[in-house]
Amino acid sequence: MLWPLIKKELFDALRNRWLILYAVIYAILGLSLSYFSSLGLGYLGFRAFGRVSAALINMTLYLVPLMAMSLAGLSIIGERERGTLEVILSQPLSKAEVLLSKYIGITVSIALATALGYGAAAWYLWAILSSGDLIIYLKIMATCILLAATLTGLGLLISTLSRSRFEALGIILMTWLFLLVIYDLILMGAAIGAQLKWEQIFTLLAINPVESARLLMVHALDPSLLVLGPTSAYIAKNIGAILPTLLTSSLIAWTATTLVAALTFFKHQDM
Amino acid sequence: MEAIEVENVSRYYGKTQALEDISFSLNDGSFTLLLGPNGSGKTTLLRCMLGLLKFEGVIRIFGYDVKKQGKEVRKNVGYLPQTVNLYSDMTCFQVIDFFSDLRGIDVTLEETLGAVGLLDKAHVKVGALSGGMKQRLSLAVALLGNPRALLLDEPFSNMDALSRTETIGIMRRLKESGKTIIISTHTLSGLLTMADNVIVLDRGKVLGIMKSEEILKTIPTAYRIYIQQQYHIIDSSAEEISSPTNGWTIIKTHNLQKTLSNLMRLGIDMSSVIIEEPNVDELIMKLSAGGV
Repeated sequence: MLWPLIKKELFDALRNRWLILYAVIYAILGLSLSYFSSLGLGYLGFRAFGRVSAALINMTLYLVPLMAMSLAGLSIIGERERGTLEVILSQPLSKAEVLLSKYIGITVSIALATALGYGAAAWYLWAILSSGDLIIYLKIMATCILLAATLTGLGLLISTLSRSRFEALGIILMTWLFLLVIYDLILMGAAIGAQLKWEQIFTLLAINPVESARLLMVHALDPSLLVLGPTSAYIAKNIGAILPTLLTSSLIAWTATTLVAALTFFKHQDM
Repeated sequence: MEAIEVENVSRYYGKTQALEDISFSLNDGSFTLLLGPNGSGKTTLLRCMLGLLKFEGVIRIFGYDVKKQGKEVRKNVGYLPQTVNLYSDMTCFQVIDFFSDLRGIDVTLEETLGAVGLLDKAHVKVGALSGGMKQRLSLAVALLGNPRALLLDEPFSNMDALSRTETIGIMRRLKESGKTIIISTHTLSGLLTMADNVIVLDRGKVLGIMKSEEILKTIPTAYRIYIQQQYHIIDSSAEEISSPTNGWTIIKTHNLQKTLSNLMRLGIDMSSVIIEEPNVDELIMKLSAGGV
């Protein structure tokens, strides 16, 4: 019984003007990347590729969390406020099926919008860039989708816990700000103030899904992580081989934990 | 066979008790009115019966425990919520298609929208329908999958007189088809003659579970018949007949059919007759005062 609900979620999400805007921005960025990359050859071409990839990563880290958390964060509470959740839950479905369908529908719709942008660029780049660049490109895209999947789970948790759409939106914006800006500031302060060891810094980085995704994407582009500074470079030097596995595991753990928590709250709630 | 068993059901909203130790059982194929004023707990009880709200106690529907076998219960029960909440950007056809997909069934528009008189609105968006039409579309959704029981929460709340009469006709056909039906309502109009049982709720408590005949006996003044008549009427079946005032005579009776046939025999023009059905408030006041 999951498919009709997933289909509806996809249908709704793909008509969402914010998601359409997101897809358009990605397509433009992706095509810019291909254009700039194709301008130069050799060293210049690689530099352009790296620079635009870095811009793409930064955009991803701001846009994907906001998109995923707002689509998911407003979904359950939105249906609850409109009263449609009562009709859905009066059908022969379990709450787990309803939540899982929303999760899959939203994640797939963001993945499709992301793939549209990246895909347009990949199509353009196909004949120009090396197979190595394309692999980097695909790795960044895969990380972007994994981040969307992770934060969709967090968004659903926010949605089940909120008492109104307004409250959900507030929590989403605060969480987004915390994960992207405040967490970094706290980490920098702690690293300097408490003289944290590199293992501790890495652990603190890895438990923030946005930081995990940032490290994964930059690692795809430059496995030495030199671009992120000496501490990151030191981390890469020490655990470079298992770094992608650790960071991917962190994102998967986030997804599983938030989904299980969302389901537990949802099951124990009325309607 | 008992279709619905409700045992010691209580429900709180914070510290407020919405349902207090409610127990009753209903036979398969029975037609029951859940009667009570606004805020009496009717909607809460229906939602508990579907597993939409948490509650203390036990509810079994066709032998399935609502708390443990909610999906099985909802497979066998169609639900019409008090407020129609269907997706306003979908057409009637899309709504039927979506909910029949959710139930995993194949249906035709004739048997779904046709049954509630909305076939010509198949491609109209829900948001463009009138309140009564939305209510009938919601009824069509409740009927998907031919459920054995129907829980209908104030099904006439948004309907005009015509829609109401048509919907009562649909209810009558559903009752004849052997479905177990519970209708929550705060008025009796048009339904009392169909009902096998009437459960009267007030402030979360069951005040009484009665047969419709008992209700008519309990209510001090049952039906009121308004007739445009200038002269005095004498009818032995009536409890009270007013003197003609402003051209209207009011007859109070418990035995509606007998009084109407007597009036017809007297040559009264029945097209000008207005019938007002029993007042629920009077019944609740009488039951609250321990009058039954």
